[in-house]
Amino acid sequence: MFLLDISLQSRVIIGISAMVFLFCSFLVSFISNQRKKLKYQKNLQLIQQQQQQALMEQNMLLEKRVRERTVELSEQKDSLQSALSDLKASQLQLVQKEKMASLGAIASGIAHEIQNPLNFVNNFAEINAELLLELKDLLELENTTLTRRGEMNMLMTDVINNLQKIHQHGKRADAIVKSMLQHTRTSNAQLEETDINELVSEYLKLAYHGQKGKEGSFNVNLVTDFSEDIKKLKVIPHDIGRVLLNLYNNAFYAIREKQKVAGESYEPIVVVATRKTDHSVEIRVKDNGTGIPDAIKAKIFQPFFTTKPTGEGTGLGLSLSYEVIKAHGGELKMSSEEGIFTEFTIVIPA
Amino acid sequence: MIDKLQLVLDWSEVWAPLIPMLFYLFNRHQPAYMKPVLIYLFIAFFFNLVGDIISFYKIYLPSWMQSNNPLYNIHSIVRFVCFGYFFLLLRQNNFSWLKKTLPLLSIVIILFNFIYLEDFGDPAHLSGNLLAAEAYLLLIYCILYYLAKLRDEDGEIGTGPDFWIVTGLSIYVVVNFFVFLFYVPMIDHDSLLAERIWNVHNVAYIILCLFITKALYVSSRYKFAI
Repeated sequence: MFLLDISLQSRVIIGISAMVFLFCSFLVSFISNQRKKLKYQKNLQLIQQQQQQALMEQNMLLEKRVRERTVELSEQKDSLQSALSDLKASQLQLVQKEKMASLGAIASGIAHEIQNPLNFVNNFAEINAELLLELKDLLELENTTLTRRGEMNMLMTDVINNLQKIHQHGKRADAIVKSMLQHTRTSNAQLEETDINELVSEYLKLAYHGQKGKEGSFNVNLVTDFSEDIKKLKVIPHDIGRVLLNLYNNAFYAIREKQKVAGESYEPIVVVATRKTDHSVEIRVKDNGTGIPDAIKAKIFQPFFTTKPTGEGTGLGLSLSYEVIKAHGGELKMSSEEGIFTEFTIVIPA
Repeated sequence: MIDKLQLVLDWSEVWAPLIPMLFYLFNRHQPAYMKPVLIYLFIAFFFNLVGDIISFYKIYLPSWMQSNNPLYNIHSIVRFVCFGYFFLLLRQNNFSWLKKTLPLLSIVIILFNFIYLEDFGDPAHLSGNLLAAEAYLLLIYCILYYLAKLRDEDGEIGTGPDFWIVTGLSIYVVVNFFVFLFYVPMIDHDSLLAERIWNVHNVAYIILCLFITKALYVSSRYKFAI
């Protein structure tokens, strides 16, 4: 078989050429690769720079917005703080108003209670003055006969009797004032052994007379049903008294409102009852007034919620009452049917 | 002493593949792309053993069995096939068209060589052209591997087992390309020099086997690290 022979020179040329070719190819490929990488790196750097620039712009914009927003928020905060201060001041004023209203009702009741003995005192003092004038006239006469002596004695006896009555009614007024002061002293906010029935009764009288004082034509059938087996409870009498006063006033308001629309056949009744249960004492105040609509039942204990016209109610009465009863560890419950009745029940742990 | 060293070098083609083979027996869990290399080792061991036996004991063999040239030719083709497949198994997307073209080119070269240039069963000397061409084509594979590694953005050169195999192969083919190319003329001019130059081939072959062992070690260490 004929085979071609490759000379040594040819082998050298082939070998070196092959290696040079391979080396050059590697070099070209490597350089082109590096150039591509460099170009890619440059592009990447450019993109990064652009991104950084954009990021810086965004940051600046963001910072500007944050500054603006901060100023805005600061202004809003100032405005809100001012509004809050105003609101707190208004709240204080309203609480004060509620207290004053309560005080007014009490004062009105006290005035009525004292008015009666005072009338007696005044009348008897007036009569005594007249009797003493008569006695003076008799003493100025020269001839004092036996008959005149008898008249003078009678006059003296009348004066003494009258003075005794004045003293008696003065003492009564004093007792009333002392009794009222006992329940209205605000500084004495400590738990005291209190006769619940007496407290309920006294404040009922106060509320009634207060109402009567404001509105002469006011008339209501007050029904009381006090359980006799209730022992004295440790409560803050002034606070419970304020709660009771508030419930009574609400009841009177409700029947007064109903009177306006119900006509003459309507007989307003307020029932006040106390009852002892296993572990508590219940005080119920029920009226047959306008009742409470279902829609507002959930709101009545909220502060500043009222259905009364502006100026007549602060909307704090029931809210404060609720807080007072809660502070005593008790409950203040309500049940009502619109147009039929409303009943508030105070539950105080025994 | 020199005689003994020469004997060791003469038999290096037999004992050198035993190093990675033994290491593999104790560390069998290897990545899939190592399979062609391991197959090559077993085949190479067999061909080299037979080839050296023929070379050393040819006087005792019948005349038709006295040439080990066909074994070297087949060994060369097997080496190209195994390492070519190894490079295809590596997950490198660059130059894939060239990698697929090289086997076709090798077929053309082999056919051309044995039709026009060399005799497949030549008893006088081995087919230097075939071996040189095979070394050259494998060198192209190696260069493509390094270029692909350089192109790879996050590719870390010198960490994986593939790097050690390719580096060992690169050393072997670069050194032996010229040995194979000039081996046949060298035998004609100075057979003693040719014999001594073959020692260079043997040393390069030992280096290749050691690098393959290193690759197997790295691969097994990777496995344990995971």
